[in-house]
Amino acid sequence: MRQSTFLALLLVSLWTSLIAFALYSFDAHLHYRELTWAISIGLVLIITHMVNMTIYFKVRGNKPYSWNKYKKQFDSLKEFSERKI
Amino acid sequence: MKKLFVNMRYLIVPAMSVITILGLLSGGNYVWTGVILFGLCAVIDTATKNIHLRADFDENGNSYGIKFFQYGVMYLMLVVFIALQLALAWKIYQYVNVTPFNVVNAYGLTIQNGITTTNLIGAVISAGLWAGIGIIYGHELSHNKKEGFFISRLIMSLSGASHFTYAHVYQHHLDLAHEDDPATAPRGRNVYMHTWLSHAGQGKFSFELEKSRLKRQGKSFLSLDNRWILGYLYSLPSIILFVWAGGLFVGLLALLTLWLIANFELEALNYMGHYGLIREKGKPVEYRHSWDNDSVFTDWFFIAIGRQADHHVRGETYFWELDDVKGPNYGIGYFSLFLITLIPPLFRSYMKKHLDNWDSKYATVEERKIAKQYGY
Amino acid sequence: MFNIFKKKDLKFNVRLEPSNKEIVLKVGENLLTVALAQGIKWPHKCRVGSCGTCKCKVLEGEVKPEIDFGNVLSPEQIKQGFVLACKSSPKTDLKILIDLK
Repeated sequence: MRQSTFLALLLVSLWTSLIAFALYSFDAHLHYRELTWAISIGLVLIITHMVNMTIYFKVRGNKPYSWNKYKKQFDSLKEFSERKI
Repeated sequence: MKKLFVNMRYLIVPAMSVITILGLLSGGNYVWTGVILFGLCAVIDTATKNIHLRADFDENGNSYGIKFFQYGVMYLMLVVFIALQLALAWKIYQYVNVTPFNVVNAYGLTIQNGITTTNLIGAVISAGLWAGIGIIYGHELSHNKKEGFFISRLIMSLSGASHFTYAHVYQHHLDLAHEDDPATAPRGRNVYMHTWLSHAGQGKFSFELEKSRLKRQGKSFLSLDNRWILGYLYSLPSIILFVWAGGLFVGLLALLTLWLIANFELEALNYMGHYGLIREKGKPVEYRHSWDNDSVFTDWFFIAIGRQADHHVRGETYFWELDDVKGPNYGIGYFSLFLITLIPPLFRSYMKKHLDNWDSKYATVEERKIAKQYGY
Repeated sequence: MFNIFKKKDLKFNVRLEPSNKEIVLKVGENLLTVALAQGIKWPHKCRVGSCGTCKCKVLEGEVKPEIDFGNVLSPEQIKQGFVLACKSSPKTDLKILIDLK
């Protein structure tokens, strides 16, 4: 696994776990049927998701979308030029 | 009569979506209706793969499609997809509340209250499969009418993918078949990896678009003027609904599963539409930069989204006017192809002959040079 | 949406400057699509309103925008009357400034 992928996953996991712990500490799992709690939990979750996506964008940059990793590693230039279509 | 037929034939998804909702409301084993319908569609699609029909125009060259009717249906589908989520949330509510099993009659429907774990899973999968089909309306509406664009955002927000509307129009249509387009899958990538990369990539585009736009306007990124943030806020009602109905475990898990299935379907369509095709940067988008899947059932079910080649060259064209332009064609429907994509080695094997054909018959010299770099 | 209440056969004359070419559009017809169909080499690329290549200036008359032009055109350009031909249909007769070279 690439270093930046590992870092992104680590940061996302840490942030999500922190939020999960905070929600649990506030007994959110017991109050979700109260509308104000449900709205607040919803807001917290969507903010968590946005932060997670931002972390991923910042840490991974444009690397994940590159097509380079799918290019064939030719053993030699000769093999490359002989490759039939 | 022809006019009626041309307009009614695009009502397969609205009809099946409503039946899926009725299945969820009926409860019991009927919650699997959406899954069964999806399977039935796969069978019909495969059975009719060799039937291709051209777009229909009258003797004066006018389309039979009725814009008011078709747009009315598309706008109404927002209500249908909301109803789908409400129906699922209701079953989740019953599950978490451990509602006793009983049968009631209401509004002409026999409703089984209470739900088992197995049937809850079926309900979530049913809802997810049909929520994902919402992409076809989210896509079409992103291309026409200002209010349609907003409705598209709302439909996509039901699956947590509101960024799609901007990314599709302002990135995918410009960068198609090039590395700059996250929605185009390069040769060798499987549909699972593509689902994440395309979703995140389009989200990133939307993020960067807003960052530069707000900076130009001297506004803060953290504001309600930020359309990337707004897109997620449009998803808030769904999150609140499922949290309220099912709590932080069952409710949230159900929503995430629904979103996963729906987004997988959305990105699978992107995957199938442009897999492995190559365009030199800066060159115009042509028919050959998209794959067509336009067998009759696919065409009617997916409201001609399978006519990608014509759509990408004539993006202003209404779906009922898109035609077979003799571009690269898989020769089978989306359902059939979708099943093949689920097994990556099978898909790669299936695609080899199509890509070889594309390289030799459609690609330019430069595009062939780029294609040569991929060990296919 | 409310075009259904207009007569479908209502036509609009669109004069292009400085080439002096004229095209005729019906209610709801797309400006770029009709121009291209009538052999006019109107500059264009994406045809979905995202690149701005087809932009032109409305000198007289009014168009119905199919999308928000603000995503591609600046506020100044919109104020000056620029529109995207691929996402416009006529509401009245038009006089349009477009460089066809």
